Amino acid sequence: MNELISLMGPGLTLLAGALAALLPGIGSAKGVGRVGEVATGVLTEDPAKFGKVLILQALPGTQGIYGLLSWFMIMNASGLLTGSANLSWQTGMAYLMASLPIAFVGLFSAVYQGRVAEAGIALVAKRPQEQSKALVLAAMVETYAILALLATVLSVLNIKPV
Amino acid sequence: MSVIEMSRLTLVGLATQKADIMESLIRLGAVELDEMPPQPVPQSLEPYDERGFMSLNSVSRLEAAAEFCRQQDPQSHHMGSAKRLARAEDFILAGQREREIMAQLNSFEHIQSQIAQLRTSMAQDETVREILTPWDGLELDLALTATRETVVFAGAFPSRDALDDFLAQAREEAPETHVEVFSEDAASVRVVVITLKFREGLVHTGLRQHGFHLLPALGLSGKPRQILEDIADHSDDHQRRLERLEKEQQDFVIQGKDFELLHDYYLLQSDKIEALNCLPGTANTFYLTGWVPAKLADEMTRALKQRFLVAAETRPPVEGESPPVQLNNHTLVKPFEIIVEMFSPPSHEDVDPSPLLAPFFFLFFGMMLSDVGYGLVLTGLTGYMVFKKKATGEMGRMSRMLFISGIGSIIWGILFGGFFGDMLTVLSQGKIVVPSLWFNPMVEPMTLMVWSMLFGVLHLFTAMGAKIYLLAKTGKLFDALVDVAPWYLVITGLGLLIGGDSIIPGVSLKFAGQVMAIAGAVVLLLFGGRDSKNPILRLLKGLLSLYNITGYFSDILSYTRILALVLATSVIAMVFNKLGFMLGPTPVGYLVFTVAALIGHTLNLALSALSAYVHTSRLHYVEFFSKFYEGGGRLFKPLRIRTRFIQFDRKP
Repeated sequence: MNELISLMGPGLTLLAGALAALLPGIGSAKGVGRVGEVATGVLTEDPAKFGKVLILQALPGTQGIYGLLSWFMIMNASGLLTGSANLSWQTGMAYLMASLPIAFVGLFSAVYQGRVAEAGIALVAKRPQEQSKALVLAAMVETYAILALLATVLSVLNIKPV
Repeated sequence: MSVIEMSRLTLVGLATQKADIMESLIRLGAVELDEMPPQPVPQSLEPYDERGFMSLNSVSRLEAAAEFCRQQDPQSHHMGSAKRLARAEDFILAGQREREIMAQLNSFEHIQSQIAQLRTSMAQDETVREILTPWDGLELDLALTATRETVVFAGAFPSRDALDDFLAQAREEAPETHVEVFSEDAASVRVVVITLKFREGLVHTGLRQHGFHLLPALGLSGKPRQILEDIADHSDDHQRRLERLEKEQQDFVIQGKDFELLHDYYLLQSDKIEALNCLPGTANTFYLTGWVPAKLADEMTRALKQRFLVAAETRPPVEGESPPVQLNNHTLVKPFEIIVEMFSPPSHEDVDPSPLLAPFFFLFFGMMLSDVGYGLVLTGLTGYMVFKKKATGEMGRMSRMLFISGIGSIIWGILFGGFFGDMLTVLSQGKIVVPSLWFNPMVEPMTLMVWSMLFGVLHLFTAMGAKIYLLAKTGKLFDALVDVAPWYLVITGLGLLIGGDSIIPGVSLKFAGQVMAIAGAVVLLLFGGRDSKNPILRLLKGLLSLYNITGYFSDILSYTRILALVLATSVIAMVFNKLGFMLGPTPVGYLVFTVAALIGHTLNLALSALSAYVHTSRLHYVEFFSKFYEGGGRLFKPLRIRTRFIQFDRKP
């Protein structure tokens, strides 16, 4: 039983990192993939728009990056990355809670941002010069991922591994 | 005001001089014609649309040929898509030589299609050669696939075992089948199979089950050896012909310049015709209306009257008209005009927000991408585009904007201590630590958050100031003072309340903050509902206007994205440095690091620069502009020479 409890610290921390890395990654993959599908459609008509649609496709990808960033911060701050970890289950729990914002908000905002970016591609297909507007509209969704990232990062930075 | 004043131009002229006047206007490039639907062309005028060789088809053929020649000609290859300088005389000469140039185009295209055909048949020969070489020596004529009672075909089994299995099966189910082994190697056993016609289906199924690959029907006849020899004979021939044709093509490549000239000449003519077809008039006259920059108006009408018989007048715009706008700013502000234009250009009564936007865009972009290394790369790349390749158009304007923004990034990289993240620290294993001139966001993230919000407040205050200025200009100074100005007090007051102890050591400004906030709130409360006569309703409306504090609160919070983006850039850079250097300070380790760093930092630069651009734009469009700027104007689009390849050498 004692062994189980002593394992929980690193275990929960790893779970925290894993959630932060995997959920936003799934969201970004979905979002970016969705946009990619629509983008290829546009390119069949006009291959010259490749640069423009590529930028729009890249936008929902940032949540995956934020997730990985959070994973890295959790691993680094807890000491797991350098191998010098001495984590109680309470600390593990704390890290788990801290990773929740970016995990879930990253997932959903990436999917929704993908939808906006997809619509943005339709805009760019008709009016290529309005690309900036499409970018900004998609970036509005990203605001929430950024706020969630801030919540996670600031929480992680303030947990003292014990 | 950085919006150029426009004058309304009205011009009446003779139909016979219409084309020449149009050409002069196009040359000047300073007049925007009103959009008018195409007019019916009176019978007395020349049919402008029949000019011999000019057509959409020839324009695109010329374009393709000119592009190809640019690629192939070592002299012009380095120009990329930049425009070639040419003199006006060469240009007109090209127009006169159009018959000759189009004939050359025909020959050029003919050579190209011959080369393509030749290449295709050479490729086909090669395929056949590959397929048939293992069958060299087979005594079977490939055209012979059947006799009256039998079918015969050649192919390969994947192994001896497969062949044996098939033979066993065939002995039972289709004993009339005979298999003759031709050759064998490690990968396959080549055989010829003969069977009776009525067994064909069964045998095919059996063969397929054992992995048999049929020799493809090549549509050729004769024994493989004969075919291979024929191909060998041809190939030398084909090779020589190909070389000769390619040399001929190369000779043509020098003509590329002519193709470019004629292409742009046709572009100019078709633009002119399109414009001409829209000019209303009578049988002998025409008139046009449009806009011209006020500064050039007099000079232009004088010049036109000198050369042509026209009646032209200009006047300032009247109430209700909406002239187009052209922005005019300082060289350092000009690159940022594109950001404003992408949102919406100002209408002619608006003030141009570019001079306000420029310094803040520079500030926020620099903060978000704060890294000396990334800034250097960005500035270097865009500098190359701007100064060496002389990029024009949208690409050129974005490059100029990013060039300046990259410098901002370098500055903030110095302030925050980032050079490709912590690359030097990782490479030197902790010995070199790049100092930060101000503070390191990784160590003190809260400091950066506070400063982000402070810069945000500065941004918002500037926007509010612009609003006050605009209101004052239209005589609504009182509105400005009771609707906008109190928020200065409220926001500053609340800020002091929260952080009043840490600004001046030993002095608590909290009380001052309290006073300011309350003062501002009182003004808003009293005057927020000044439209209502009923005092109770008035106070209630005033209370409601105080609710806008939430709007300001969310605006200020929005600026914390600066912290998020700075952290994101730094941490990703750190990750790539750490991962890349995992093999340690060994020669292999350094090699791996170089590769990983190249890939990783390029990715990070692209991603972070994109994020910085998008989020800085967003901050301006949503938080900044919403306070004082709407846009809704349209840009000045003068009739001008539109070219693809040529730029006129303005030297006399």
